[in-house]
Amino acid sequence: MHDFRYFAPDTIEEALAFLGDSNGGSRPLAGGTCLIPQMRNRHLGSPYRQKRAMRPECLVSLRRLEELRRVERSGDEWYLGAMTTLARLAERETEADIPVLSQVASGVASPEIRNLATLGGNICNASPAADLLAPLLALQARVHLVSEESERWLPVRGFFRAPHRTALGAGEILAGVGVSVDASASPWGVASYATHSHMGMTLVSATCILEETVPRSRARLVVTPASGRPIELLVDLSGRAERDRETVGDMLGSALAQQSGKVRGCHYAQENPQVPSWYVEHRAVLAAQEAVSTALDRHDQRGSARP
Amino acid sequence: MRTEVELIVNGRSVRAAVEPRKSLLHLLRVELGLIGTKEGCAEGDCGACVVLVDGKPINSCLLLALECEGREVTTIEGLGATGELEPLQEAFIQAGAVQCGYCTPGMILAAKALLDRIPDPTPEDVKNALVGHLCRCTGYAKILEAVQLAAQMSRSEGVLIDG
Ligand SMILES: Cc1cc2nc3c(=O)[nH]c(=O)nc-3n(C[C@H](O)[C@H](O)[C@H](O)COP(=O)(O)OP(=O)(O)OC[C@H]3O[C@@H](n4cnc5c(N)ncnc54)[C@H](O)[C@@H]3O)c2cc1C
Ligand code: FES
Ligand code: FES
Repeated sequence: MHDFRYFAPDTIEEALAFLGDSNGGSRPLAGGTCLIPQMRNRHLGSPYRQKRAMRPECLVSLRRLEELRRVERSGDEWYLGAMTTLARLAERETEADIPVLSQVASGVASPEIRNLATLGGNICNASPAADLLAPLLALQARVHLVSEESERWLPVRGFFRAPHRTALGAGEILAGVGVSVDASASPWGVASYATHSHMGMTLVSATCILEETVPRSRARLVVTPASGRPIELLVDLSGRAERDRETVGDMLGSALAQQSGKVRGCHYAQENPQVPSWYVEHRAVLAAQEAVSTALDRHDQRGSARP
Repeated sequence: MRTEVELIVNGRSVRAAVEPRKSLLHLLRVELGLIGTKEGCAEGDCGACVVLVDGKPINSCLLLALECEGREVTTIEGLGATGELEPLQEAFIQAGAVQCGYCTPGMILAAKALLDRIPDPTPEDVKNALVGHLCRCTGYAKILEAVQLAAQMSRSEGVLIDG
């Protein structure tokens, strides 16, 4: 790995002042599970990795910034600090009750990685294969961004510009994420397919949240192929007393087919010819159907009025 | 430029000067000579480098040494009293879970973190705790058995002491 400087500020003000002054030469370091391998850039054979190799002049450690570990209820939102580890989310060690996020976090990599990896790193890395992307989009979460001069909120949707590109400005960091308490309590379903069952790279994942506002009822479905852009669909379930799963499946299949350009052109497929994009597309439909079906089952188990 | 870092390794306070780019794994093996911890992939995939930091298993190849300021690190050398083995180490031998031994330190520390949290784990708990560890020799079955055996051994030790 190249030489770099390291700074571990004690306060967020110090961190932001340093990042603000460093003209883009510094990078925040959270758990390091993405950044450190990127900086080592071991896989020199892969053009994709080379393009993403990183050589920051300085790493600014966020480890001591207690504010970034804050997890609490704030009005009708859960506020999750960016430095919340995936282990804390998975083990439900925080006050926030967001079962869909806990479930997805518990499937990320290994316990060792989850003890290091953070929510903020998962989002800021902006990898289309990041597992938290689909649930955060489906929950319509928003991100809290701070810099030395300003503070702003953006929907997660607006934060992801493209694979590996975010809306973070120079000197800006992600302080936390806001998730609606109501959305967190809605019936949900998730499904994903990876290259292999444990420690595999996620090829496609899907999250469905049932929105039940009387008289309408709809499924908000997000499918993230490890490649292109996320696909978001709103499936109207009103009047579907039987919620015929085949019909829902057909609707999803054709909606996804219309957006298949987003599934194709997949970096992962380009790099790994053994995973062709038709396979990712096929899995995308299956994952979507499974997510909707599980959400409907959860809804039925709760015994509330049918959508 | 080397920077000083102070941490606790296996119960002892340690001070060392390392370059910012060096990992905890480098600090342990090269600076402190604790070569029980291994390097396999250096990418978080194999688990050979796993140690406990503040009681939790992490991949020491991914954590910068300077990030460990003030933290407590336990390596395989820190288990058991002098000349004695921990139940987990004993169980790995009894169950035949060690062949070349390269994966063993990481496996044992991950298993220790599991048993500290869940003294009576299900086979599923054990599998989930070890998903981040590769073993090229044993085929895993004996490792899973060893962890269950260690749990039993610790429980019966507990009974003896209580009794
Ligand atoms: C073996 C292995 C398996 C993995 N498996 C999975 C998996 O199954 N699913 C998955 O989703 N991910 C996986 N990952 C990727 C990674 O672990 C996660 O994306 C993790 O959440 C990244 O968080 P981190 O804290 O380690 O980020 P870091 O590596 O510290 O940072 C990632 C990027 O985000 C920036 N950053 C971090 N925090 C902030 C912040 N608060 N503000 C601004 N910028 C910030 C950093 O500068 C860096 O560019 C895996 C990684 C490894 C090594
Ligand atoms: S050497 Fe750290 S996980 Fe392989
Ligand atoms: S015993 Fe050889 S790698 Fe596990």
